[in-house]
Amino acid sequence: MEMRKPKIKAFPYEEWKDNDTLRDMAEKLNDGGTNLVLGNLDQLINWGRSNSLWSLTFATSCCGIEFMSVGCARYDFSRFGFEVTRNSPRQADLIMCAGTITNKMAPALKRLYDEMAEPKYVIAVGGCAISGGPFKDSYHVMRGIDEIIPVDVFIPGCPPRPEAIIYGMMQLQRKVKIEKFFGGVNHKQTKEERELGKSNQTLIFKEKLGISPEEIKEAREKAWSEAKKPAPKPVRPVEAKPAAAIAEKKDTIVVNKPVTTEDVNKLGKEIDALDKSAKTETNEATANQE
Amino acid sequence: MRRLFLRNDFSGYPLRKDFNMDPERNMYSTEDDIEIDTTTEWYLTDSGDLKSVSHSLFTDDDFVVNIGPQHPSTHGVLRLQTILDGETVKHIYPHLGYIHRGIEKLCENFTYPQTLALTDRMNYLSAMMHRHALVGVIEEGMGIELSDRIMYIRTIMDELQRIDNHLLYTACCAQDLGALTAFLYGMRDREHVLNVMEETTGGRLIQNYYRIGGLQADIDPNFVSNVKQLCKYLRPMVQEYLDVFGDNVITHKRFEGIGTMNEADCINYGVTGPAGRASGWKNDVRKYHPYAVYDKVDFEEITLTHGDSMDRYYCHIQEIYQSLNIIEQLIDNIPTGEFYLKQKPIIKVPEGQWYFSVEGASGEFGVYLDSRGDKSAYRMKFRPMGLTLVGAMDKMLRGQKIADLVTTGAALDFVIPDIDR
Repeated sequence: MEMRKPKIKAFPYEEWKDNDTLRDMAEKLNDGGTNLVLGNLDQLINWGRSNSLWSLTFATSCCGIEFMSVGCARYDFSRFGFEVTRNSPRQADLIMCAGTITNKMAPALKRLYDEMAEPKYVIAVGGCAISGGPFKDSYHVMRGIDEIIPVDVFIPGCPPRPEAIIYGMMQLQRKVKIEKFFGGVNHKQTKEERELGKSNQTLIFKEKLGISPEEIKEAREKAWSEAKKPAPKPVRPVEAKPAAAIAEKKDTIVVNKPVTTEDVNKLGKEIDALDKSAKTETNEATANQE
Repeated sequence: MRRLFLRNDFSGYPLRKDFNMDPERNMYSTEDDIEIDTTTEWYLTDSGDLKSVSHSLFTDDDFVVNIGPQHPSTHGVLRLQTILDGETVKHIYPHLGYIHRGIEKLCENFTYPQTLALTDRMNYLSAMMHRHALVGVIEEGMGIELSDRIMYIRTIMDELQRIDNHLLYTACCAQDLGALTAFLYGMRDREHVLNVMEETTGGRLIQNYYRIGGLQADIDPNFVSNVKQLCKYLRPMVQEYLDVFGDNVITHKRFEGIGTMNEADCINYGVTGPAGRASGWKNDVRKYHPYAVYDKVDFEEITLTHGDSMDRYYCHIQEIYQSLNIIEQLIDNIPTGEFYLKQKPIIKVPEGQWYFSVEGASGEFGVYLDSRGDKSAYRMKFRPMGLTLVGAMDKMLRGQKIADLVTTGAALDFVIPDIDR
């Protein structure tokens, strides 16, 4: 987009781009008693957004009770701006997936996520939402909700303590604070997104997290098939043999021809001669001893 | 006959031994489930042929409202297909299984100590009682005689858990009627109960405290004094809930005469627990099949007469007092002894069948164990507390207003993962 060059007599155009000049000006004005803050509009909006994240009440099992305690008087997440929970996905900023997601519930979770308005975030609370938890061997449990919706923050635990849930929610706040709002989160939908309604699924996976759901699925299945293999039999560690006098390698005898009787006789004579010499040697040795 | 737990497009029979548990065979799908508007009735003809007739669930004139699975007042992921005539409920078809995790099948593959972890997550509000039932049935099968100390501590922990559940119940009742103050009061006092349990067990919501042959750890040195302090603190607080919410005229208007069920129907539908006792059915497992040291303590079985939501609420409130009574009787007399009887490293249960039931927070909870002498069960069956309550909702609410569906559900006190297993 082409920028129109503003013309101000006392403020040459080059200085618009110069942060030091602006800072100096702001300091001068502050010294003179004028209230002036220089900042990025993105930061201002993100400050507001991150401190009023409203979550959808979506609790399927135990983690939901802990989520209730976080909302109650002792832990009280409204201190951090999670003021209220909304019962309708249309009004919620984030979905706290607290609990196991089963195969029957998966389409409903997907639909709830799709119904939420952008920008939207997902927190997976507890082992079940992250990976299936203690039920991952079951025939009716999803092994992690990140296979169908993109997850921003994982909070491990079974169930996580309220302090852990608050910590995870504050991590999401940090994530929101560094996001690019204008042109990033608040971008105009592209034609592809509009026509295919893809903004919810693949595009977010790819753009927001830089991963493709198919790859995750394949990696998961691979890991699964490996995990299901029988464990290798424990091998008894071989005791290291004491390093014996290393025998010199002899050239291997290559036999091309079949062995003849002459060769055998010859070999026999050689051995006999060796034996005799050995005997005479031992005799000499014993004679010396005596 | 229609599918209750699994998806309509699910093929196979998971509880059969030849069912393929391969995770790749049982992948999720993001496609919506097929909705079937008919049920199938199977019958045998005189000549012995199996015939089926299909019935329609709805007529063309029916106005069907779908409540759930994601609805804040269903306490989880329960789905109720409700046929309405104006504002009046004509029929309710409950659809379950949105949190069906296949725990019974998992128990067949896990060793006995491994299965213990699953019951706590099944009903997190009566985790201790559920674990007590499972541990109880395994100990019965193995023939373990527990020491008095273990039984005393188990009884106290069960009752603390019952108080925890009932406090959450009163809080949620209030929240479902829109009374947020009473909700916060209930949750505030629940934290005190959790503190006392946490100091001994180390867990906040899910304690994993009982184990086969005893307890995970001995009680904390401060446990006795903490429990006494808690009992002293709670008694006046229960009156506060009544002042704020229970005796409120709005509560009476919303609860009285709503979701009524008489004693005969409660027995027919198997509505156990406080919901059944509110209509006068004496069904307390602690009284009639005592386990642990319930036969030694003096407590009253609360039964009321009206069988409506109001009496169910009062039944819960009065049971808090009874639980406090039980705890106060036991807390000073915990005998010395072993807190854990050492077991073999690999626990095997001899061949046979056993059933052990306990009084859960909202009904009878039973575990049936079929063992073939292995280190894992051949078949493990749980009798959930809430399934019968949900089944009875149709009978309770026929002819009532749609707004009363929420209050009846709140007053019944069911936990969905417990129903779905």
